Amino acid sequence: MNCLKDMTPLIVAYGDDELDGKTRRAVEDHLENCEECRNTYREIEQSMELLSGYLDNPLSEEKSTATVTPEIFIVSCGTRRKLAWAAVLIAAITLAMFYFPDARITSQAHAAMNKIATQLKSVSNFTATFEKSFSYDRPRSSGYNLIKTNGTIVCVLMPEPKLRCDETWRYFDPEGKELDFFGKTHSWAQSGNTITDKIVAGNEASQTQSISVSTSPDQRQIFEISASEKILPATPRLAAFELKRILSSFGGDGYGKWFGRQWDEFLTERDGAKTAYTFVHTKGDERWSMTVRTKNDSLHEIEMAQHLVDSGGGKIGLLVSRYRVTSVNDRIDEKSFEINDSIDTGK
Amino acid sequence: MTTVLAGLERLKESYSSIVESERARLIRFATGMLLDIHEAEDAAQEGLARLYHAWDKVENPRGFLYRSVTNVCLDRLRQQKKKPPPQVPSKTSDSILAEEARLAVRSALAKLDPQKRAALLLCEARDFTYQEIAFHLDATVDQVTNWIFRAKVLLREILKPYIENGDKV
Repeated sequence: MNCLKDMTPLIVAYGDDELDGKTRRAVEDHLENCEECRNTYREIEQSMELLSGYLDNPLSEEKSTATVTPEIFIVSCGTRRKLAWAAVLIAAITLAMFYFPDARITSQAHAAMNKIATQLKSVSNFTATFEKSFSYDRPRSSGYNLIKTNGTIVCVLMPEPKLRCDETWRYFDPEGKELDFFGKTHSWAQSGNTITDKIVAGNEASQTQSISVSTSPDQRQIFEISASEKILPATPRLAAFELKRILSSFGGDGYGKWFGRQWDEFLTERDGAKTAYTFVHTKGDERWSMTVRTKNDSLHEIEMAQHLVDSGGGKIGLLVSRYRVTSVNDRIDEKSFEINDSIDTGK
Repeated sequence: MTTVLAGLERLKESYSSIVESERARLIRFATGMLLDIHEAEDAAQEGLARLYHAWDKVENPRGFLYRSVTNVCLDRLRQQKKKPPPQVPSKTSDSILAEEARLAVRSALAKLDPQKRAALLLCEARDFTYQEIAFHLDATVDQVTNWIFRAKVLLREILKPYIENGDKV
């Protein structure tokens, strides 16, 4: 009898406790008397220990250690929310630059764009590391350009008509830990004056937005933005993320820390809201505000605004975004997302 | 009868208790399947989300969960582009041996076809019986027995140098 050939399947099943009593005893008797099969049994058990060790401590992923460079600073600047906002801004700037000759852009518009460009540049110092993979239907080199606006050089995405882009991004904090909740996949496509932009954060959230640009009779640029965001139902991970983001991000862990800003905090009641917290950051002519309203125990609304002012302190533009978060039984159950961004530069 | 028992069993459990008890094991299982901890976390998360959606209709939540994650992993493996093998970072000699052993395990798992890999991991990472594994993989017990046997023999062959060295991962 070929001992190993006949016995090995039984030895494997024995190790997995899959044999009936009689067969089990027979295998045990055999193992007692056959050194070769004993070795086989031991080796299989030890290889399973190695497997178990691997599952407990898988190989660390190879990571890029490149620092965020200016050409990709737009998508490196922060949370998924920030990513979305940056995408809106960059698309808006790009479309404006791409479609409208300089002569048709008012001086206020130039100032507003400069302001936005400055804001975007200010986040380019963030030193997250990243991995990325690209899939383009045209060479990547055609996707970026340097644009000079009023003496400021800005690196912006320059979509070509019908260009499609799919990008996958993974972010890591300075310790090398992956930042789970950043947008992981970002794709967009342009057709005519409309950009469709899709951001998928792992399997937890996806956001789609469509940005159309047109020119009003008085030569103002009108950006129409519609967006939808889908978040999967609550899991502990998602709930923890949402709670952390909603409750803490406005303090020291999120945007505040990100921009190194101190936020003034106000507690107010307005619009029938049960409570409303407003966080305001003002530095020079730069002003951001965030308002968190608790409509009732399960409905929360977050409004973020960037106030654009000219060098004299006069208001020339405003960007507003709103979140609505619904929680049921202490879990985030459903979330609707609405962007009411507007770039009002014509006044 | 099975349905009644399953229903009674289910009453004892809540979604959150299943998440709590299974999440780490799911990730462990998915890590072996996808050979990438981040992909594994995503797959586990997707399985949990599927269970959440189907909670009211599911009689055997754990069975459903592992079946879902297995399917997610198999789908991802079908879509996955081949990645270059990870480089082993330079470390001390002990940790190099451990890292090499891990690399060898990873390489061995990569050589198994998805069904054998799933059967092996459901057996080793979650201690499912062959019968339960057959249910999860839509296979017969004989098929599962054969897959696990072949998988273990292959792993033993590939990992033999590390077994003889007595390395622990």
